[in-house]
Amino acid sequence: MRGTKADGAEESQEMVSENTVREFAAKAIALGAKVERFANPGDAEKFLSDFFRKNEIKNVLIGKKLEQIFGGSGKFPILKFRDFGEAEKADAGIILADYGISETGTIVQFYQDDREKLPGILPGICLCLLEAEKIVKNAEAIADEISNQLSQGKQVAFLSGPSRTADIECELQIGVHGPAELVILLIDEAVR
Amino acid sequence: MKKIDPYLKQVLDNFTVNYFRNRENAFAGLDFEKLRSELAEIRDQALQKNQELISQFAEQAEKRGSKVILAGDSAEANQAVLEILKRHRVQKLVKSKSMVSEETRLNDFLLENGIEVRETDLGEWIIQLDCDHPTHMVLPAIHLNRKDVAEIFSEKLGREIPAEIKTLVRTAREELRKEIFEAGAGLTGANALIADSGAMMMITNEGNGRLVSTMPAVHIVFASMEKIYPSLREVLALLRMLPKNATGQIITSYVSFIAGPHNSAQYIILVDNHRAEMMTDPVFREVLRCIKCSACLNICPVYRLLGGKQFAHIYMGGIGTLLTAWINGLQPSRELASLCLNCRRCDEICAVKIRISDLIVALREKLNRELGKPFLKELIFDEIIANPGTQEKIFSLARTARPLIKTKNNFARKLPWPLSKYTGFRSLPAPAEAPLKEGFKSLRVEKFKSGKGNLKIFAGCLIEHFYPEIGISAAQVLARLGYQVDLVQAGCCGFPAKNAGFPEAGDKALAAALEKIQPEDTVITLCPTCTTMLEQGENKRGHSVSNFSKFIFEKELEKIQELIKGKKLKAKVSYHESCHQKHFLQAGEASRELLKLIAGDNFIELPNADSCCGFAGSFSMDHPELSQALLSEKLSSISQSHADLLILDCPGCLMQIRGGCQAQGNSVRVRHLAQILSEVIFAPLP
Repeated sequence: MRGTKADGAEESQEMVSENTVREFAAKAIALGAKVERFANPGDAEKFLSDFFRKNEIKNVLIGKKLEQIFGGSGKFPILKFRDFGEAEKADAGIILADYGISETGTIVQFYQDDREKLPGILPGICLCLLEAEKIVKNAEAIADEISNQLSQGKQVAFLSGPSRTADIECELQIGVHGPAELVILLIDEAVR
Repeated sequence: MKKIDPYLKQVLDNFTVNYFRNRENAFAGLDFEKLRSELAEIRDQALQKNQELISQFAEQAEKRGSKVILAGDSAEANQAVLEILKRHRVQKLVKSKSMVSEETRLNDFLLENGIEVRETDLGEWIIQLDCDHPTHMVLPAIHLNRKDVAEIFSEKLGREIPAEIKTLVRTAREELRKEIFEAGAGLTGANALIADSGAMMMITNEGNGRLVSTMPAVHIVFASMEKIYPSLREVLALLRMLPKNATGQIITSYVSFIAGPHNSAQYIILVDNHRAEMMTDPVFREVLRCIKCSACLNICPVYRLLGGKQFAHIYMGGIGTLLTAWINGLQPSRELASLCLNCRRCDEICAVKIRISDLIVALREKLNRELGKPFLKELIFDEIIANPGTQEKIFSLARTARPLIKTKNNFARKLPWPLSKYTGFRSLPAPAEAPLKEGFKSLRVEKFKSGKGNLKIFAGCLIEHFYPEIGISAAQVLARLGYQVDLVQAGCCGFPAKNAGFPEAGDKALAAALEKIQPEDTVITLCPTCTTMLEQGENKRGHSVSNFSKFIFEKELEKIQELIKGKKLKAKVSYHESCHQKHFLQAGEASRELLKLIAGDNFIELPNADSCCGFAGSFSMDHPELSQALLSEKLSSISQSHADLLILDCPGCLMQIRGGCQAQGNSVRVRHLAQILSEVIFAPLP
């Protein structure tokens, strides 16, 4: 694991990390998310291009952070929007996770601006980039960081699987208000 | 008179099965008891510092530009919302789920004031279109099926919508998207407010909460004042518990932490509605620990029969009864309080260890004290139960009238209409020819002299006057085990009075019973309910109390094995686990193990062995229709089991189930554990 303590425990840390990554993926899949794993951001980018082509996705919503990474590439059909109404046209959205939680298969996202949130709440498909090294065991492990974000007036969201309801006859249905499809792109190298 | 809707009951039954399976998986590897003790402690501390935490929260939230409004009651809270909407010229408000807005009847108020209100949670939207109110805290439209929903949608949307759940859900998504985009303000509830950051936490599965708090220009948070926590650490403990106990999910799809306004304005309205007053009440304040997970509803046998249309004022079930008494006043809580069986299932599943069933009893006391005692109950409890002498006279009179009361097999004649509702579905027993104390005298004394020690049987009033043969069997078993056995000649233990909210009568009856017990006595009880009462008296008298089956199982298992050697029971035996045996004494397993020992392969586990038989003391008199429904489920389990013999530990359950079998013509023999032990021990060797 990158950024391990300099106490020589690197090997066992590596193993714990891989177990944590696997647990994350298993839990996310159990909640109905799809998980794809990539060695580097390039491979993930290629997957995204293929995904958009295959699914005939014409309008992709991305937040500012990702715009800096993908915006110039011209590879994705990125939707430009002036207001929320225009953003509603998007077929898919891409978000960049700040953390993953292995215990529950959860993605954690911090926002300053509501526009960062839109790709994760408006379209029917949400694609989420998550760096493997950002996976922690549980929410308690990042409690200080979350508190710190909140103290700066930011918002924090935990996303665990697609949107769901059981309000009619207790029968599980996917994709009520939020995305019906959540695809997590787990990347072993850093994206930024 | 309550009516049971068979469709709703079926849905609730199915839901319950799935819920318990999912819940078990969600808590796998976790220590539920530890988690809930910690969370209860967190809630208590937060309640103690509530005012301080609210000030801190308001300061932090306002620093960030949010406005915090404290509303004393529903009227103030609703008015505050209206003023915000007027200030921002909002015509349409979209809402995600908020039980507190149900409490204040916010929607009605806003509609009267010309504001268009749209619920966005699927279940809430359905019932809003149906002009109704939620019947479950987590699944608000659980009482409606897909056909009902399709009819409601078709009528309100003016086009034909097919009764397919997928289509109904897609329709909701499309329709509500439009509404959310048009709305000038969004109102959400909050699952927690965090004092040190001024943030709120909200959990949803559908994602409507995120849309409602993001898309409109104004975000209003509508929450009750007890939802406050010192910091994120405590809120994460809540998050660890809430989804698991609520729906059996390890986590909900969405958890949002929102600190401050993000579009143009955020208002946080904290509703009191007598909660501050409740926080200072030494008995009832623990109700405010509640995190609204609804687990207590999911496990409640009466909620499962009735659902939240009939077992609710606004909040549902037992916890709802307690909240109603404070938020809406005592009067509307009175009938609800009578619906509790006092089985304690809810106490065992509560996420924050609220003693719901004890508090319902405390509420019954408060109701009797402040609203007056119902005449008939006052007569029964204050005049009869509280006075062993009067009880004795009444039973003596009943014995004299026995030839008039009795039909065949010692059952009493059925009562004519309108009293037939109490005796139609089950036959009640006629009083025994002679009470237990008479029968006990005629037992041969030398059998009871032994060196092993002295035991005193406390039989309880049902055994004393209706089923003395149970007391005799128990005495014979204990004597055979080598004890010197005597009888505590007392009247009622007082439980029925205490349970009905007549504590003075209950205490008087218990005190009279305790007078007959000496500090050095070891008392053996034949009724789990009496056991709990006498245990309460242990400190006063210094005696020790043990339930019959537990005593035998813990102390005499080897001797029993020796006595029954070669005498296997031939009948197919099953076991009904009484609520108080299981949930008060945690002694059901002792009885079950003893039965397995004497019946071997002939022991059959009864389906839903621990479901309530519907007796529950005065419950079966207050709500005979519900008592009948619970009994009928029990009787069909018994039929399914194909047992010849049903064994139980509680004479109340015995009265109910044996009476039900008699009324239905079911030939299964219903016996107390002491009877079957005695039968096997004294059977000749084959």
